Amino acid sequence: MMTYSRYRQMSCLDILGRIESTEDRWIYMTALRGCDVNVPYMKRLFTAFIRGLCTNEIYKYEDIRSFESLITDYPVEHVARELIEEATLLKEKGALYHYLCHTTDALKVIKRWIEEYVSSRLIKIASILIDVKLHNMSDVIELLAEIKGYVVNETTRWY
Amino acid sequence: MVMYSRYRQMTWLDILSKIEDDVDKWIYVTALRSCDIPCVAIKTLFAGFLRGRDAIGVHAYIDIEDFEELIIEGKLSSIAYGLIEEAKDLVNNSALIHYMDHVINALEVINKYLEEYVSRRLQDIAVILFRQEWDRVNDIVKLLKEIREYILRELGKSILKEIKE
Repeated sequence: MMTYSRYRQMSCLDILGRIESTEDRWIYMTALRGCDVNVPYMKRLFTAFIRGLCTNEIYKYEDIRSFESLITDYPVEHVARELIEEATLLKEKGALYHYLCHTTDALKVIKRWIEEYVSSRLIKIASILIDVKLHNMSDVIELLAEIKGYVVNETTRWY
Repeated sequence: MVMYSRYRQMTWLDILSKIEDDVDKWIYVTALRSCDIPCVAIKTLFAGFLRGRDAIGVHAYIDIEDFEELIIEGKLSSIAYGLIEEAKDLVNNSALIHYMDHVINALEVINKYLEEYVSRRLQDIAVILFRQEWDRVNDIVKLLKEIREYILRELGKSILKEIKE
């Protein structure tokens, strides 16, 4: 296991190299694409975190820097509201379960092999979003605030 | 480059190991998950082919065997109409462009490093769907027929080789 400050320097291929189970590798790889329906907040929160650091030519893709910018630059209340709106949209389109189940499973793989603090909170947010009827804004805000505090601390320490 | 008879024995991990460029690896792996909107024919045709043989070994997901079953046993005109109907549904749910763009690029990677014949024809089908050229059913049927005949020839060769061995 490693801290977030180390995780954020790893590319998806570095992360893949840390995963020892073939099944877990599969779960991780199949979560690297963003949702096929455009949900920019979910992409920056979940997929960008899962991807780790995209280097060189693949810099154009949203990566962990987009995740950090979302977490640290925006009010958590705003992010929570947008996430819940996007989850409602995905439910209408029929893409919510497929995308968030892949995402949740990949976060569990990261939690199992690499990074625990952020991934476990993202899992909780995904599980709240997946059940549209039980959306609890205050829980999402609280979890985002925890991640924000931790990420700011970890990245400040790194610099 | 490898013939289809060799490609069909490779898992996605084998395929990934043959791709030399990191960007191409990225393009390949981001196409492995099927579309987030349900679409069985599109999933079986494209994701089934791209994934190669099931790496987990318990038929946990759609793989190249499902792709072959669809191509060899399915009625080609029904498959073509099915693909178009599913693609229309993806348009309605705003998912076609994102998913097909990933598929087209991943097929280009397969064509560049591994298998040429099937990947090129699948890419032609994907482009027709991407451009929403719904009146080109006959072209899709023709491409599916070429793939079917080629796979049957390749599988026949593969079986003959096994018998000889």
